[in-house]
Amino acid sequence: MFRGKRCVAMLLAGGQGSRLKALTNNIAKPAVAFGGKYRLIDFTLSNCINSNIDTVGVLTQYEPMLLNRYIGNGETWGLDLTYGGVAILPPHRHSAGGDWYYGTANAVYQNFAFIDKYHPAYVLVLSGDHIYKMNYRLMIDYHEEKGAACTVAVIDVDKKEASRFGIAMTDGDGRVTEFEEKPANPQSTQASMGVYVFDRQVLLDYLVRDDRDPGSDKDFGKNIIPAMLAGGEEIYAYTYGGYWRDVGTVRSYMQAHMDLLGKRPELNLNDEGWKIYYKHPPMCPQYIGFGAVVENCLIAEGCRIEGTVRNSVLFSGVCVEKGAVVDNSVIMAGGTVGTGAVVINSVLDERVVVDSGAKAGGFDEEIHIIGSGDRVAAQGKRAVTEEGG
Amino acid sequence: MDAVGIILSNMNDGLVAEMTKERTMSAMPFGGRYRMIDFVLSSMASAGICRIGVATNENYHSLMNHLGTGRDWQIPRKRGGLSLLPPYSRKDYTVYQSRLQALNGLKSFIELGGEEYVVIADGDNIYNLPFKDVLAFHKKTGSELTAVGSRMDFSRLSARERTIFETDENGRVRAMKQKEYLQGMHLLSLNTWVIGSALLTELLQQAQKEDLASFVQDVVGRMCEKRRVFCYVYDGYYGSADSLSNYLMSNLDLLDENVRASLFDRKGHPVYTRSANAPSTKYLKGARVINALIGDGCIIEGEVVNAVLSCGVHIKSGSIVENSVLMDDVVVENGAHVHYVVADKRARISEGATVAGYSKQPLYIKKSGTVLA
Repeated sequence: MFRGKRCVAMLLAGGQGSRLKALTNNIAKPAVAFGGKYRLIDFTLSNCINSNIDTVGVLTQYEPMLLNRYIGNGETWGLDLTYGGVAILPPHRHSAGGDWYYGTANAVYQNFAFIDKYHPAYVLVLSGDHIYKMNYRLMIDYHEEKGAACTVAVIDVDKKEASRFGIAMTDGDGRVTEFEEKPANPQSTQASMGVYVFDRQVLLDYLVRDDRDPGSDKDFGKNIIPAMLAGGEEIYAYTYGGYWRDVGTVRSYMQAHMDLLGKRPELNLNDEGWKIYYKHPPMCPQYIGFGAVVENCLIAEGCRIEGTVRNSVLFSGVCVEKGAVVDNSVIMAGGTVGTGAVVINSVLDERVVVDSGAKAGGFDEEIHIIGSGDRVAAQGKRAVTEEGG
Repeated sequence: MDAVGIILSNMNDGLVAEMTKERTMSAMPFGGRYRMIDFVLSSMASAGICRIGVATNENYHSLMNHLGTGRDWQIPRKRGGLSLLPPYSRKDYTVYQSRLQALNGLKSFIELGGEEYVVIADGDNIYNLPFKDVLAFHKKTGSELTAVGSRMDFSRLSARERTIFETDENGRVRAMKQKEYLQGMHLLSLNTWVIGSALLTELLQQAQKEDLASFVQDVVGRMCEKRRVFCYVYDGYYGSADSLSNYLMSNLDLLDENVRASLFDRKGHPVYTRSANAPSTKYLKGARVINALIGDGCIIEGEVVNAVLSCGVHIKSGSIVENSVLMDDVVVENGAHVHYVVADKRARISEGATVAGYSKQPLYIKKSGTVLA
C-alpha cells in the first residue's frame, strides 16, 4: 500500500480563452505559447513540482489534442511517476451517465474519485492559463496554520481592474468576510487568482450540495466560495505579492511578453531556484549573423537572425532575413520574416511566413494577429491561409 | 538496425588534459548547447540502433549526469536502451587503457542482445553520421570490417598522430597508416567501425590469446592486410576536438551555415541533447552581436563577435568577446576583453580584465576559475 499524498492538485485546463482570438482557434488556452519557450500550462505545472506537489489531475475539455500531446506522461516536469504524477482527466461517461464539464466546480466533482485515490488532506485547485511563479507549499502551510476550510490566493489589483475578478473582503486576520465574483462595484482590490486550497472533506460536501442545485453555475468563484461563506466555513485569503498575469486578451498577452524584456523583469525566468520547465525542441542554438541588430529582445534556440530585431520575443526556429525589421512583436515557432520585410506591433502565430518586402502590422494602436501557418504577401496585407496550415 | 552500438567515451582524454580533469572528453560542452557525445549518440539513435553501450573509464559522473536513461536521445528503453558501462574492477584486472581492453571488457554486453553487427565509435566525433548507410555499404561491399573516414585537409589540423587510410577505387582499404606530420588531403579515420558480432568476438579472443595491445594498430591493421576492409567515406561535416586549438576551431566552424546544415538539418536526424530548461537568451540595450552561435539562457549586454556561447553565459556591458568559446554560466564582467579564449564552465572574467590567446594556441580558463584584472 502506498502512503497517501498531503495534497492533490486539480488543474483546470478546459478553457477556450476566446478573447485571444486566432491564437486559440485550434488549441486550449493553457496550450497557448508564451515567452519564447513555454506554453501557459508550463508555469502551473512547474510551480506544482517546484512546490513538491507531485500529483496533478489536468481537467481538459476544449480542443484537448495539442494539450494532451504536450503534457504526455508529464516527463517534461518530472511528473512521470508511478504513484502520482500527472493525469489528464477528460469528461467521460460512467454508469450513472456522465456529461461535459459544466463549470469549474463540476469538473472537479466529476473527478473526485481521482482525488480520493491518493487520500489527500488537501485539494489544491489551479488554473492552467496564468503566468506566475508561486510556492503553493507556503500557501498550504498557511491554510493549515489558520485551520481554514478553504484558502483563496489573492493579489492586489488596480481598482479599475477589480471588477474583472473575484474580489475578497477580509478582516484584520485575513479571514474572508465577503466574496463577490466580478462585482460591478468592487469593495476591495484583493482579487482571487483562481488558486484555492480546500480541506478535502469540506470540498466534497459543498460539491455534492452544489451538484444538487439546478440553479448553480457550478463555478468555484460564483457558487462554491459564496456557499461556503454562507455555511459559516472559515475561509482565509493568502496574499501573493509576486508577478501574476491572466493573459485574457491579445493586449495583455502582448504586454506580458514586453514585461519579460529589460534588465530586471518582474518575472525572473533566469531563476535557477525556480525553473519553468518546458519541452525543448532538438534544434541547434540561435545564430546571430553579420549585420544583425538584436536589442532588447528574447530569442530562442534554432533562430537565425540576419536582420534587425528590437523589443520583441522570438520563439524557436524563427528566421529573420537580411534587411528585415521586427519591432514590438511576438513571433512564434517556425516563423520566417523575408528579406527586407517589416513586422511591427504584431503577434505572429506558429509557422507564419512574411514574404520578402512584405509588411505585417503597423504603427497604429492595434495589435495585429497573423494566424498559424498564414502567409503575408508582399502587396498590401493580404493574408493567405495555407491548406491545412 | 540489427546492430548494437558501442561508444568509447574517453579514448582521447589525454589530448585535452586541461578540459578532461573533471570529465571525460565525451562530456565536454560543445557548440553552444551540446556535449560531444550527443553527436555520435544521436546518429546511432536516429539510425534505429536500439541498444547502445557507453564504455567509461574514470571521471564519468558528468557523463552519467548528462545521459540519464537516454530518453532525451529517443532511445527505446524496453527493448535495448542505453547502458553505461564502467569498468569491472577485479583483482586480476586493471582499469582498461586501450580500445582493445575496453572491448574485451564489453564482450558479454555485446553478445547479450544477439545483434548481427557491432557499431563501434569514439565518443568525441562531431558528425551526423548516417549509420544506416554505413551498414548498407558494409553489406553491399561484402566487407568484414568497415571503417568510416573523412577526407580532411590536414593543414588545418594541429599536429598529432592520426590514422589515415589509402583505398582503391572500390573503397577497399589497401593501407592504414599512422602519421604525425601530414599536409594536404587525406582520408582520416573517424575511429568508427562496423563489424559482424561473431567476427569481433573471434578477433577479441585471438587478440587476448596473443596479448595484443591496440585495436587500431594490431587488430584493424592486421585485418587490412589479410581481410576485406572497406572505408565508408563520410562527406558531411566532421569536427574534432583533439587539441585546444581544434576545439576552438571546430566550435567556430559552426558559424558557417553549411556546417550547421550538415550537422543539424539532416531530415529526421536531429542532434538530441539534455535540456537545461533555460529560458530564452536575452539581449539588452547596447548588445552588439555579430556572427555568433548562442545557447539558451544567456544575457548579452556587451559585444560578441565570432564566438560560441553555451547556456547561461552573461556578457556584461562594455565587454568584448571575440573568437572565443565560453561554456555554460561563464560571466564576463563590465569592460572585460576576451580574445581567443576557451573558458570552461562558470569561469569569471573580472571587470576590466583582458585575456587573450592565439588562434593556434587559445588561452584556457579552467572550470570556475576567475581571471583578475
